[in-house]
Amino acid sequence: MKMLYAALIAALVLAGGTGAADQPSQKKVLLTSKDGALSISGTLLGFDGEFYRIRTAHGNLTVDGEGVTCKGSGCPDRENFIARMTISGSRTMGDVLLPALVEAFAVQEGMKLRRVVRSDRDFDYVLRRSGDGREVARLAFRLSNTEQGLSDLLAGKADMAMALREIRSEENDVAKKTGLGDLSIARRARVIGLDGLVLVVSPRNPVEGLSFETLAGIFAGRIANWQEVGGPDAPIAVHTRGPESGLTQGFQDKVMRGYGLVLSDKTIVHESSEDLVDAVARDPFAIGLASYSEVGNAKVLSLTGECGFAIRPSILTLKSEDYPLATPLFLYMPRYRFPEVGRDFLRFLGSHTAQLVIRRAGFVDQQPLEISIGSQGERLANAITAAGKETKLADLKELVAELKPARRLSVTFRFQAGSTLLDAQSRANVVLLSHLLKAGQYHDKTIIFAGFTDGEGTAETNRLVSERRANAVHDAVLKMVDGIQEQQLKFRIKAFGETLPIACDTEAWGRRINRRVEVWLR
Amino acid sequence: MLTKLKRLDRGKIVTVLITVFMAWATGFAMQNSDSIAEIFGRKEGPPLQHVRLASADMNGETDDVFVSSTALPSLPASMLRSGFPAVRLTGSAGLLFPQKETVSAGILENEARFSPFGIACGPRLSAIAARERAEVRLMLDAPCKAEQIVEILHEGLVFTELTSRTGHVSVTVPALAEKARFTVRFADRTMVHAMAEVPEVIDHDRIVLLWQGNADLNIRALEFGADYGDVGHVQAEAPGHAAGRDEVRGIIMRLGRSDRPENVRHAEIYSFPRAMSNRSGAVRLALEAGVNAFTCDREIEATALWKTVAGVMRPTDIVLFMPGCNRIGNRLVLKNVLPDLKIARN
Repeated sequence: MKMLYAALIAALVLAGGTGAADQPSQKKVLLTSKDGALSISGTLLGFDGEFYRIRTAHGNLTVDGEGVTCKGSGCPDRENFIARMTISGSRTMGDVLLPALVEAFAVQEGMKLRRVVRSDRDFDYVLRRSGDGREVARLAFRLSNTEQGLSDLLAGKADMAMALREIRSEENDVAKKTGLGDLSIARRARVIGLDGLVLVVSPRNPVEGLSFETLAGIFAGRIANWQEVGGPDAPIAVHTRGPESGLTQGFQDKVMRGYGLVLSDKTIVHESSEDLVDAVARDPFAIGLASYSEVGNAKVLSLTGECGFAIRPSILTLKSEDYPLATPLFLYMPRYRFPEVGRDFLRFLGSHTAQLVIRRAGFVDQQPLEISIGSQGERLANAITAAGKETKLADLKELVAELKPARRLSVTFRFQAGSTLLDAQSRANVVLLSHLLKAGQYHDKTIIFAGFTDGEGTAETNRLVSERRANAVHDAVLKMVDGIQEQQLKFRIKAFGETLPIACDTEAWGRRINRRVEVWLR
Repeated sequence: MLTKLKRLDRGKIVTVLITVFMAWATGFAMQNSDSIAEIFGRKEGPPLQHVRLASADMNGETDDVFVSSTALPSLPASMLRSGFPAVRLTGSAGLLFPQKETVSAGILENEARFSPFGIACGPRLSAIAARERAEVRLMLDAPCKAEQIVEILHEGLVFTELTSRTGHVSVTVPALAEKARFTVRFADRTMVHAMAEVPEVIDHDRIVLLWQGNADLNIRALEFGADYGDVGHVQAEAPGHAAGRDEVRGIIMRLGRSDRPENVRHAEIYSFPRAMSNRSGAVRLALEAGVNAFTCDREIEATALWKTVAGVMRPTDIVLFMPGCNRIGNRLVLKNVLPDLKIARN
């Protein structure tokens, strides 16, 4: 009896957040240990097929279902357990991508799938076992926008939030308080793919590229006529998504804020990116803020810089984040355990099939690309053109000598301003790279962490800073691959300072892109 | 006079009568091949060739020739000139054209059974590929299953058809696989199969919508930025033309017939000839559902088929929660249930 009691206590984990999938209404349960000696009563917060999560007078507890019996109106059916999960948030992720991934997952698991539709924004997927047709899972999708999705997660109304931006510190504080855990760590903020904020115009519009500053002016309503940017005398029709959309918020943060501007309230607002790009494509005087994944029939603009660089969004520039407006697709999840089918789905997201689905849906998948130096001619040409006063030919020669026999990996690391702290996407990249290394990928190569900085400050300072950053990435990756003998992996640190800028130093976003650590393989 | 007739060879009278009939029938066939074609449901396709019907010589051997479009290797070409089965007569003298050989593809039943018109039951199914459009012309002859509902199945596509008074069905179906297999299933659970090779299937992107009875569903396509009412707006009421002179467009085909509306299994297929496209961009596909007296406030089931990343047509079952009956006349437009087509310029 003591052992059972001890076992029961051992099975209790003081934690657990609110389970979203089951209604938060009063589901009273009484859990009794199998020998009858101990019982706990409370409100059922969730059941993942194995563990009960209950709210009791002592706090939220997680109890192993194996060791107890359940009595009460709130007790779940253990025999015919149906995993229920709610996925809420961004339409960019929920319109096409997540459903396509659920469908491919069902195919892989040999499960039958049924989509129960109330509207484009409110639908469920019912998954059934192939043999006896028994329902095993119900995934409820509630699409709105990034902001609402995170809000639902924090309120316990969703198990997963689809978001196009990182969680803000205020939001994370709420998460920690309600027991959902620290949502900023890589395990809770999973990046399942990449998209990009792109600027679109009609194919009949002759403009090919615009600068950040011009775009900020246009979207703030300060630049109101195409004449001001070299076009015809016609008012600019600005199309955006709503203010809670991750696209709008991302553009506000990454572009407009840098010029102290806010988005005009006179833009034409669309409920979906699909509607937005279709409207822009039809109007030669329109400009819109859209996703790389949903460009439809519109034309995408390059981002131009004063120093002459133009960066087009492409799979490569998005993967390497050389294109400054890459948007990672975040799936935020709480610290409590998902039912087995949910965990299987998360595992599936890293599979090869999942990458194919992500690509076919028009997004950028997570698989790193290897690029030879030959295909980077433009970067090198730009670097030579823009080489600052302090960049000597010798520096460039050293860079080329080091990198010529190597291939660049698209995985790139960037930092929070003025530090060696990795930003969210980069933290996820550390996990990604470490997984690949653990899987034996690149085992016969030397992995070079090449640090670069922007042009601010002296060349010597920048060389030191870039070295520190390259080391920071090296250390982070090494920590993650703990388990593999260090001798098995060959690492090399190179610091190139300000030698190879890829964007203009004259603008903040350009400098941010220049500050990076690249990964090269030899 | 009568006594004189009695003395005539009765066989000779029959012979004369049959000869006269045969001559008439041949002439009729030659003059009216089009209308005969219509009766047997062949509106298009290769032109009918005339049959050389068997001679009236009772002692000669004749063949009933049932021609199907898949090859009939053993018959000489001269015999293969008919598009419709020869009519077998049983006159009062009990004479029959002896049946020497009946050649056809896809016969699964006992040839000795005959329909009220005296035609062998078969049933027989033929499948001819119209390759450029990656479509297959199916022709079913089931004379013993006249005016019956049949189900036609192909790679997940299912729709009902109604056999004619002579048990015939003729329908054109878009192919969904290179080795396009078709099955016709009868009410008594018997089946007949046919196959056609359609390698051009990969040149076309197809999406299929299946539903039953009185639900009012359709696929709506908006091609390359077209708006409702524009030229690129394709749906069943404006099915489109596959290839205009300047632009390549998609088309919609609708299949499914039965005796009563509630018994129909409908299929609608949107087909875009991707390989011939001179335009790039997106084709927006939506599922539209009309709120009517049958569907309001109910759950409507449908199935959609499209190609997965693996290149296989996969079904997704759909249940639509229809709005309440105070919204009769409205149309639900669901944009994300069917995947949009993204076309790259060739």
